[in-house]
Amino acid sequence: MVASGKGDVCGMSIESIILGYPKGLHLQTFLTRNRRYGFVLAVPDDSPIRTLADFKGQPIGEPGLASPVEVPAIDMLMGAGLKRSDIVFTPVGVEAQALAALTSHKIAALADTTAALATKSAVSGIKFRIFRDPILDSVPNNAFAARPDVIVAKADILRRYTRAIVKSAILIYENPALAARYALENVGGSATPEAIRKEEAQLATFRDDIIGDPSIARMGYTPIAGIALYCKFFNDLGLTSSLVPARDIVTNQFVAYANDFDKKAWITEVKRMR
Amino acid sequence: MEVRPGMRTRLSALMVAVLFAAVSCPRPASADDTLNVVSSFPGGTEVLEVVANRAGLFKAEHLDVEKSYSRKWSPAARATSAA
Repeated sequence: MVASGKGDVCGMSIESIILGYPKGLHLQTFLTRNRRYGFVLAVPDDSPIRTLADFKGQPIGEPGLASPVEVPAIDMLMGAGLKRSDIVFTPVGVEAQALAALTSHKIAALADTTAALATKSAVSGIKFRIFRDPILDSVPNNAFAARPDVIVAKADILRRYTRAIVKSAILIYENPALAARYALENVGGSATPEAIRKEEAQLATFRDDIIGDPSIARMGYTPIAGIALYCKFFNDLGLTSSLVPARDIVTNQFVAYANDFDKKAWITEVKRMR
Repeated sequence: MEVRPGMRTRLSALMVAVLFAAVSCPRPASADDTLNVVSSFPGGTEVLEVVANRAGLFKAEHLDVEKSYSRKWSPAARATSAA
């Protein structure tokens, strides 16, 4: 929608931007939402799968056929010595369908995002053991994006937007109970203590993945070198017809402004907010 | 006009208070401050936007953020899909 001009900004995974670039769909990320790479492999905590080698021949659930989650899964498992033919993906849909496939043992694992796994864990009570890609883990792949011409035309608005988002990230990190209440109210849910506890547990699951950790000096910054590596990865796997230039799909021009406020004072304030 | 003792001080204090209130009040967002933001559906890392909106952080930045979803959803459907 954003690429066709029906919106200014969208939050999205960078894979779609990389895949769209050679086809002429040019979007640029300007603030990352995650501090880490979002796609992971997950198994239930009591699963006999303990190491990456244990995934050999085991069906791995993915949202749909040839989903982007396959890319890091293949990278991880082949890096651990598995052959491509050892890796089996099974499309299982999302949310309830994916959980049903897992609990009925149609699949042994899920290739998913940490945010989606947080929801699954909160609603099902299943605790997941997570396997992260050691090479891609420092490449944030979930960001706010816009068309380059929109970034130029609405630069002043976007930089204020990024500051609001960074402040929001800190609020979520420092006061998850309030963030949980806001999230519930947003979808018309009743903010009962039990509902807030569940929502808070869900937020806690991916708290360390979003950008609100105060130890991050430049919240929302995307490392260009990491994205360049990721683009090369896509090209090497034949997923893109040409190497996508990282600098064309990422800008950090608003990050300094987004972080230019008294963070200590803001942390104190959000901790007091009810 | 005769100015009673203390009146000038009170008037000055009042003017300062009015000026302070005017400056402190967030200026309303104008049409130029509008941003259309699209998500697939509510949930996940969209919580960053939800919290920014609910906590008044967009308003504090004088932004008028219009939100839309590319997929159809309803609170009931979200609850069902998550359960």
